[in-house]
Amino acid sequence: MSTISIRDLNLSVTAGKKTTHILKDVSFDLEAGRITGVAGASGSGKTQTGLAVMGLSPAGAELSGSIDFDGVELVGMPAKQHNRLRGVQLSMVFQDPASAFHPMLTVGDQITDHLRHHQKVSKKDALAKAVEILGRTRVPHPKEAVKKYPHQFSGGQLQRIAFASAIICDPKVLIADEPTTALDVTVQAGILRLLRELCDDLDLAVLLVTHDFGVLSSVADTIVVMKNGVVVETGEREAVITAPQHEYTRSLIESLPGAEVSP
Amino acid sequence: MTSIDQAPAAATAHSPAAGAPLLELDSVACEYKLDGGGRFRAVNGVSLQLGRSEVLGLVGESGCGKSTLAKLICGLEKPADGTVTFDGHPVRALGLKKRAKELLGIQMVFQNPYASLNPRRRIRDQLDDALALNPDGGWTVESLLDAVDLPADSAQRYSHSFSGGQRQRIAIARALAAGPKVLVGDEPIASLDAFLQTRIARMMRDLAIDSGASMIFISHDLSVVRDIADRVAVMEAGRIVEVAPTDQIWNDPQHPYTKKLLAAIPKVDGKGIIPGSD
Repeated sequence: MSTISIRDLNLSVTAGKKTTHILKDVSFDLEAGRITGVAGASGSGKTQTGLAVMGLSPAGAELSGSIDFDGVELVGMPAKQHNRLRGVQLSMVFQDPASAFHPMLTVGDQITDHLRHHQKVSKKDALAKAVEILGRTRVPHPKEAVKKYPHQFSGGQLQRIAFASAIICDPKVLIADEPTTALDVTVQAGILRLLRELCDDLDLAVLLVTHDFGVLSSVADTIVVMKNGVVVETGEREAVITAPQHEYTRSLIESLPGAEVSP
Repeated sequence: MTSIDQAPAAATAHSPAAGAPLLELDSVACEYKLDGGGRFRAVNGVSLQLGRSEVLGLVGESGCGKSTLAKLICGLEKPADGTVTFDGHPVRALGLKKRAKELLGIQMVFQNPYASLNPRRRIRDQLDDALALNPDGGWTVESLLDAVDLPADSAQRYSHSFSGGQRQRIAIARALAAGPKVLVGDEPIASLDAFLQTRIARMMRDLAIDSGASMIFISHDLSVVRDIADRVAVMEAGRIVEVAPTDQIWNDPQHPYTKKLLAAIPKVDGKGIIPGSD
């Protein structure tokens, strides 16, 4: 059974008198131990799908349809109840690691904050866990790292710390929204390897939002292609990339320099 | 994009030494002072030449000195060593001075389109400023906007009402209006999404070449550089390690660092292979 099952998800946002439909009948599944990649141009709704799972849809948003998380319905769940899942069972990593952290708190404080809140562990135990998790995401010198501030790390290291923060409460679902877009190719490869490892070792259901088919080609198991809030194609990685069924998918892949699509 | 044909002036500009490279860097170095004493050499002994109507891609990882090199070319940094020559004129650091007339042919498009436009002035006024530098260029505000695929009514608006991609196109139009001979793009597409990146990069190339200018295109995105550059310079830790025609860099890279960079690009083959090693 799927960890997350999204069915006929609709999202519309009303600002003033104007209503915009951001998601239209979106359906797909996230499975444990698999990376589901969502591709699309900006404005296609790929990020909003991830945020809807997290319960972080924008103010004035109307959500309908169903997001089933291990038998629990997330659509329409009261905010307080969602708060108890977010950061614990559902976690997220964002695009820009430099703006994902508070500049004036130590890394150790920031990545244990939610752990201490949700699981009531002592500060000492939380820090010990932080050191362990930073080691797992291969942040160099984890013991010293917890005492440092975000500006003392490079972008790639900060993204590793963001992943540490995301997995510290043993989540079931990890949503990674363009996690490598701000990074150099050589650093990107390391982060993708980390994502693959975490997914396999912790049996995470990963939703990877990206515009980069190179990234999807290297780590995604399933690919979902979105356009203007609609899912136009869903399939296994290799099938979608080498033999896209939908015209839009084909145009996206062909627009990439160096990509080869069989005619 | 028919309006490009109206800007022949830049193409026929005279040059004191025909045949000489348009822009020449001779063992240029640049140093920054570090906190607590000491100096950091961000650019170290770089020699490069840019020909006429040529697009040179400059690639390398963050922190390798690409942006410092761009600033040196524009006179925004003072070289610690070596010289930069543009069209026979030495490029000196501007400091607080006004840019010399003969150096106005160097124009820059910056990385962040949110910070490079004035939020309190209409687009028309900002383009007019650039047009005033090059009144014989044949451009008008309308033809510039048309050249970068923006509607004519954009001229009356302010930068906040445009998306990132649209703002970057305005910045490109502004650089173009001044009649550049060298257009320097310092990561001009880094803040845009992938499909826009390719489009904007190709637009920059076409506009630069069609108006008779050359371009230095700085990016950490190798695939886009491959798409638009004639020659590619690969930079590592302040030094240029390899310069070669684009095809040669891709098909037959010589320097180990170039090989490493290329190997790190994920292939779109659907095989599920994560490239390279850490």
